[in-house]
Amino acid sequence: MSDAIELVGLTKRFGDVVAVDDVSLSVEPGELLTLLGPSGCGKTTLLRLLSGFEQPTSGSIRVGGVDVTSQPPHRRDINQVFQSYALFPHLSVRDNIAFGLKMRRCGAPEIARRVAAVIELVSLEGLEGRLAHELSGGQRQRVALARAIVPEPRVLLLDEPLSALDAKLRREMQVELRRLQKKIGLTTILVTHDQEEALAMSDRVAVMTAGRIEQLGAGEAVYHQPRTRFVADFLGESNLIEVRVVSVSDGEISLESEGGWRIAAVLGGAGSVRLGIACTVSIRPEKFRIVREPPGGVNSISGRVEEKTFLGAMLRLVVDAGSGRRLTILVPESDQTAAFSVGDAILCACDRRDVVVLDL
Amino acid sequence: MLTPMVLWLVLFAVLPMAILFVYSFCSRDDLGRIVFTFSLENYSRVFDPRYLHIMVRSFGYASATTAICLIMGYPTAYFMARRSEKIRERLLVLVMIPFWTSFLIRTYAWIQILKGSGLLNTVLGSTHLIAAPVEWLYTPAAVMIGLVYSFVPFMILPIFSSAEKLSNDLIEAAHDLGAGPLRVFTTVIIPLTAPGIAAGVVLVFVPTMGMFAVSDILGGAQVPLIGNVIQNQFLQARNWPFGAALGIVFTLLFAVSYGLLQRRPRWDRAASA
Repeated sequence: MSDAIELVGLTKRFGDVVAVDDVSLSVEPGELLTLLGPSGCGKTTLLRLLSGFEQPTSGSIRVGGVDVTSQPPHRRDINQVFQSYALFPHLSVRDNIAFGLKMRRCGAPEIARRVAAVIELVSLEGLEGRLAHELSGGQRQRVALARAIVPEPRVLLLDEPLSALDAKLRREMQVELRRLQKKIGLTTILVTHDQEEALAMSDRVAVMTAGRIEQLGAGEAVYHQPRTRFVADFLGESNLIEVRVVSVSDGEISLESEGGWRIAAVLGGAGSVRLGIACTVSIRPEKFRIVREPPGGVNSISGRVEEKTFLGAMLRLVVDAGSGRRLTILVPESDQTAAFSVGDAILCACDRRDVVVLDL
Repeated sequence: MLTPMVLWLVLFAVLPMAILFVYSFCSRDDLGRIVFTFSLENYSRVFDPRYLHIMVRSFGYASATTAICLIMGYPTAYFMARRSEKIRERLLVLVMIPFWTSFLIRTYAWIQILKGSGLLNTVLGSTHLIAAPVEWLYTPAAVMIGLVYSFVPFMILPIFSSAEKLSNDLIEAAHDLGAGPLRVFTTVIIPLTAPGIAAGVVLVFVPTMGMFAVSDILGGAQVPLIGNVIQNQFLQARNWPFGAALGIVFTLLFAVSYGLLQRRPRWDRAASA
């Protein structure tokens, strides 16, 4: 079976640039953890520290309790699926997959048996003799995956593994990759900038920015309860509103924005809140609904439809809420199609539970 | 258009070869004029022990030159190809600079370096590596130095071009899968730069076999190579038919070795298609 990973105070500097800044992280055996962030956030460097292609400036990496920090890449039982797939162009599918086993000096019968098994696992039967350039994008992806898992590493690293595929295939491969990963029970670290991929595939997501992990948790938790402005903005779409605390009572907090809009939110956790303090709230576009009457006990705001975009199942509306503030809201297309067109006045409501107070 | 190219080829390649081919079956009169008879005598002379000996020596020199060029050129080309683009371009210019000067002039320049009171002996003498000046000039060593010097860029350039195309991801992937530095080299780097090696070997070996200027200038007349023999037949001995027969035999040998070395692997043909 696979092993736990433990990163302790991992830092990597390139000259003056701190690419990875004091990252500590534990990954459970068999878990799929995603490092999610924009380009330049340090996720790729963190992955390269794990694979051994970069040496950390300080900190350590343990796999299954053993410190591997000073081991070169070829001695670590960590295999990677490269973004470019990096299939050896001069070797057949079979020889690509067998490469790791040959390097480990397995016997020919064992290699043949294990390669055949993994080829079946990733459904590449019949393509064993092909060269990389004779395969489709999805097939190459499977070969890269098969090549990385056949030596039975302790940890699998996936570097933007699906970014070269078209949208439909990418979604199929997300499901398939996740299914395979669960089946083998392999500890896996996925690096991606695609939030949908992160949410669809991971047990936990680590949102990274500026070399640090900004928030770590299950996808749903990070999505619904972002702790910082960056997370709320990067993971999914969000309406971010600058507010000031007006009153606190009974686990409920009352806030006011500059334009005079009053927002009520449920106060999560035991944070001490001082009156008058400035903070930001995040409201997801899909948490709004369109109402006819101002409902009691929930937040509501009136405005004018400025833009209307048809997205298929959903409609995206940009609402001008006065004093230069704009809200983006998502409503089911079936809901209100005929009722609204650009320029109409509407009333939007959202539950106080759906208002997330950030940076408090 | 196809026609000008065909014309060009006929005029400058096919026709001269045809003339050479016809001459190689002729004989000559006492004044060196061509007598159009049909005889295989020239070809049987090619395999005369005297010429066979020179041929074997030429083959030896060409093989040694190719091997030394490969040993010197491969690491150089690989090192160059792994630099950043800016440095890569500058290094490439350094390799090409010698081509700005005539090959003959550069070979004559080596006389200044290799002669008894030349640069090489001065340097070696001042470092006390040698007690007395060594006579380098007009020795096989001088010929080897001249040949390697002349042809090493032709080894570097094709290897550089294939090493440049070698993606770093492939090297890392091999490391990642458990290959140490040596095995990465033998299982990934060598096979993927093999087309460059093959091209370099052809580009060095073939002209070295036919080279006569270097052995003339730096070897005196001490180490005639097959190129010198052919040149002599045409210019001094005035035995054009025999020179033509030697030329034809060598052209055929080259064609065969070129054909063998240029068979590109399936992956490489597809990659550049």
